[in-house]
Amino acid sequence: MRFLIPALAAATALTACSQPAPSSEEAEARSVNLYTARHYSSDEAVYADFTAATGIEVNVLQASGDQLIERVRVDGERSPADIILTVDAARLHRAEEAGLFAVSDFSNIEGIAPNMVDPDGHWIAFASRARVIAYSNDRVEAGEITSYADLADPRWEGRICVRSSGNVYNQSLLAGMIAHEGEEAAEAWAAAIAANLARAPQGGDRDQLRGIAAGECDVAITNHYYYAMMARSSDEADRAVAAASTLVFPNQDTTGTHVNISGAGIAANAPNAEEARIFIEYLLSADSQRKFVEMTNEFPVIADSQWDNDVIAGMLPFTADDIAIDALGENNAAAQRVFDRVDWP
Amino acid sequence: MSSGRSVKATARPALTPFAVLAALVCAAPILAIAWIALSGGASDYLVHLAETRLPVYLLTSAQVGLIAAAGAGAIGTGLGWLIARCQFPGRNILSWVLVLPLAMPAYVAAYAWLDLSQAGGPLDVATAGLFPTIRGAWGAGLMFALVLYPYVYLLARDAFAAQSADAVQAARTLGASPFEAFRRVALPMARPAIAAGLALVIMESLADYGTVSHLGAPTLSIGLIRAWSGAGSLLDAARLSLVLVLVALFVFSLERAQRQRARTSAASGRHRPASRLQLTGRTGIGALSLCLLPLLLGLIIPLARLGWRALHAAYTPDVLEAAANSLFLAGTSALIAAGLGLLTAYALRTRGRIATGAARLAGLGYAVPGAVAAVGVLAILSGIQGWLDPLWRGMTGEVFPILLTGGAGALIFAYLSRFAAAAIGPAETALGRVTPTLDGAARTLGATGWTLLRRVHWPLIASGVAAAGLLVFVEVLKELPATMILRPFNFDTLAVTAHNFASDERLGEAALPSLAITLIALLPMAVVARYLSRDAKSGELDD
Amino acid sequence: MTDLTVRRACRTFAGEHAALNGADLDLRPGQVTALLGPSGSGKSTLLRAIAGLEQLDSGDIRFGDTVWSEPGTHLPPEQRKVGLVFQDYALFPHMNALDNVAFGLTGSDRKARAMVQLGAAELGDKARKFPHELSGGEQQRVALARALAPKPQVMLLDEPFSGLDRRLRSAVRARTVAALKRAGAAALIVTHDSEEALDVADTLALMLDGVIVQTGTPEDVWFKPVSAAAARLLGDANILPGQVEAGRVETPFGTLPCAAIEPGTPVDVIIRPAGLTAVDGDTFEVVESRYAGAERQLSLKAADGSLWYANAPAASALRAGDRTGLQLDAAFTHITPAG
Repeated sequence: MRFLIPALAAATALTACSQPAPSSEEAEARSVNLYTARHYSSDEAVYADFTAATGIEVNVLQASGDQLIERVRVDGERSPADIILTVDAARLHRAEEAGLFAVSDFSNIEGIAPNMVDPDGHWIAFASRARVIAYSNDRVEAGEITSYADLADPRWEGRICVRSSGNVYNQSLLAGMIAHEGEEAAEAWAAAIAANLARAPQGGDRDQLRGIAAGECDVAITNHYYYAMMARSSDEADRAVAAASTLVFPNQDTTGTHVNISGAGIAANAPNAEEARIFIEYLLSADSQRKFVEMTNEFPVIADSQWDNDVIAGMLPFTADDIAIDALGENNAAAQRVFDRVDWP
Repeated sequence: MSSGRSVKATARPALTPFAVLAALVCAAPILAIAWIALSGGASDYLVHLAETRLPVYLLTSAQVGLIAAAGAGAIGTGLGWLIARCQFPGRNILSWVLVLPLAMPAYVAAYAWLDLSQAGGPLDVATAGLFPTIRGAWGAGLMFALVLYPYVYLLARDAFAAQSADAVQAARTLGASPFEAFRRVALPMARPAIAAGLALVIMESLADYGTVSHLGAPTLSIGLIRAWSGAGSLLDAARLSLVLVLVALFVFSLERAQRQRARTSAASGRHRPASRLQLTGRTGIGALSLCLLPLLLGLIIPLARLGWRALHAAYTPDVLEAAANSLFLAGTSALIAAGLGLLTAYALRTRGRIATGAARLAGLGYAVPGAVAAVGVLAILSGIQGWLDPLWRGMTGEVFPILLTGGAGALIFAYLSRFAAAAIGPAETALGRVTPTLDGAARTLGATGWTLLRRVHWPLIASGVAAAGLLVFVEVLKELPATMILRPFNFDTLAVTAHNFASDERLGEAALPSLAITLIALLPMAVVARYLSRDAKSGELDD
Repeated sequence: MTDLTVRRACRTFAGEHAALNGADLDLRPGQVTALLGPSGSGKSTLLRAIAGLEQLDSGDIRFGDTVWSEPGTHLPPEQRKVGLVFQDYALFPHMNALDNVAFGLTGSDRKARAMVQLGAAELGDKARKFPHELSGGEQQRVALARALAPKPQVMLLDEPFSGLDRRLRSAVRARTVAALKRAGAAALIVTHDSEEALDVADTLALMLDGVIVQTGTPEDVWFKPVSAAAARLLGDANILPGQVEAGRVETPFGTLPCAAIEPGTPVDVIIRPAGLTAVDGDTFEVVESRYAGAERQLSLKAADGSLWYANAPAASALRAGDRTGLQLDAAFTHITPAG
């Protein structure tokens, strides 16, 4: 017993210093090191299919966008990251500003909207999500709401559910408004929403939909795929919640509905740049685009993609805001300050 | 220890450098953060914060800390006294079972209770909306109280058990009713122990991120993460975390300051181990119910809810791999921490100022949120890397083979920084049982050096060191933010898996890993609890 | 002024023998009663029962007409007017001396009255010190002052001098008794030290196996112990079993008159060592000769092998191995029925 402990200690100490993941220095199998901020099971299916199709192993490091950026930044030249993949535009922008991306030529990708590709070639989007308004079937008339600005009206006082302003989707939405209308107008809107809240922001987007179903509020701001997820859920309770509300895609006649993207770029110091390129192109392949729609309920970025999802089909087509994605990232910090000033917690 | 003549413990001044090393390991990330925070120019983000959200952050942090302290204090002190001073059905088992809620991470309890109490949840429906939703500062404070009260309970229980019955009985003869005797004598005598427990509770509540973010309580640690992610400024996050460290220092020094001239143990003479107040019949059942209530709220109900959720959710096979990773990290950290704790405890026996200061510094790590510790580790390791690489390249012409930040070593570094304090304490207490006179006696009988350690010290302190290790094991198992930041490729732990699902509002898939964390942690926690309760039963002062 | 009376007090702790087995005791105001007995005799239990810290299984304790303990009734300690000094003083470690003494007092002038009490104990300058900063003797005086401050009717002291240096003890005893007399309470001092008991007592009570076997003045009890066991409580004693024949008992030293006991009763003849002095002769062999300052204490073996204890002057030359005779002073003998 007495010797067991020192032996165990030595053994574990040795293993502790080891690096569990194979790096590109081991020439056995080709692999690509993916730093991703997404954690959906659809992604894992994509990785598996990628490996099956190309024989390249995918080594995944999953963490929040900021943490990934910090890690790559700190590791500098030594960073083993091949691909940096974010789930929102603001972090994509931040990674770009930090010089974490290599410059690539994405001109060979067809069927993709121009604002979905970085003009400087740092990144490319592979899936998108719209930030929409859900309203109660019982308590709100269809057509009452057509724009984000409508929610600022005092008649919605005490009737709006929305998640915390700390969430990047809200920040991006406001960043888009700042880009379109200027900070003052955006702040006025945010202040009005904050005054109309039915309850202090809590939970995620799905909790806002549940709030409508429970009668706590009449409208909510949410990402479209949460609604779709609940509508297609195997859980009866979730389906009931989705059935209690309807989605409207705001600003169809003006700027278009705010859309956020998941994007990827090749890391500046990627040890496996070639494999990274193959991977990114795979994200934009028909197979992957189908998975993003069918499994995560996102919108594809490649036009004429084939997929089978009736809830998503019911939402299309819609006019999306075609603002340069960079603008969303550039105004993110300002957006957060606006939220702080108007007391939207 | 007896007053009057004192014998010097076998001082091993040679070990002081180890204590200093241990302290540096623990404090280095904080120092790195401080260095980041203090360099760099003026930040208008902080000015902006001060005008807007900072007061809210500070106020909410204070609220959460106070509610947690009040709750844990009331539960821990009350139960501690009940177990130490009374006999009632089930008392012996409850004595250690009451420690078990420590195995449950506060954020797991938060997942379960929010799920139960939110609009449309089972409690809301069953009580027609009367049951309040567990959220905000009150909800978070309540979760911390339910899960962290064992810190206060353990210390209060041991303090009450060690108290001489005579003091309270003297108070009775001087005209104090039983409650007055408790309030004016027993409670003040136990106050330093209770205060130490409360300091731990407040520290953990302030450093937490998972619980307050899930329940929507905007504390300083939330503001810190927002500064990082929203404003993109690590500098501001570092500065805010300095504020947190200062708050922790303040709490620490408060706790030390109130241990003034007044002592808590009898000044002289033998003391009578108290005979326990027999509670029978309805009072006995009442006491039993009172003890079961925190267990029910803090452990059983959350486990039950998560179990139900897990049964109705899809099974993801990643959980097994995550469990293996969790166990690996927890085990390694526990071993190293136990060793570090022991070395530091030995160094502390010299009572040298350096060793004592080092140990204090090491304890600071507990106050820092995991995310901050992780960033500090990143900063340090990348700094070392930046120094090593050109050196190595100059010597061998090749790139230095190991990426310091890429392995589990970085993560374990962060764990040690955070949790070493948890190991030093029990190691120090265990070593305290090796009294100087015992050492002296053994040495006159010929046992010196290694033999002394092996044959005299080790048997006495083995269980204490094991307890220290197990405590760290449980803490690492529960840890979330540092793990998220520093973990290697393809390496998820149970905590990370649970958090990813929960923050994506997929509580069904989050349930199984959350359950796993708690259930795995229960076993070592039970071992520690029994060990700590076995000691208390004898109830006699050393010496 | 009322008496405290204990009658037929019985108390058995779970799984153990009876601690109190029908104890009777009276405490009179202004009088110091010493309760002497070996460890386990039940004296501390009796003291704690009087204080209200232990319940009785049967028997009663009354203070005048007020019932303190009785089957079915138990007045809690805080409602009895009792002062208690514990063996380890039980000072509140988190309070200074003044606050300790003031603990049992109420009213806005409690600190002033406590100060007076401390002054009487000559501890005025130590009022702000904490218990761990005081010497053993000082702690004892604070404990006494604290117990006396609320002017209790009954004072109970549980081995109050055992923690002190030998040299201090008689001085501290004298001060304590003086303080108790000044207070005028009925005082009970529990001890296992016979010298202490003889010194402080107005009334001496002997306790064995949960029963008070004898009470009386110290001289009465010392000179006329009620049994061999009682005699041994108070010091060394030679016990000679014998039999009463025609109003007399035979001893190796001669015949002793014994009119009070029925002829034919087996008796113990109790002879104090002080009653045996060495004289010329060789009937006894000295086994041990211990020097004790003012005298020598001898153990001697008789011809029949029995062991005897006697005293000799300090200057005596008797050592182990010597032979001597012994002479009896009948004043130091007492005859009691055996058993």
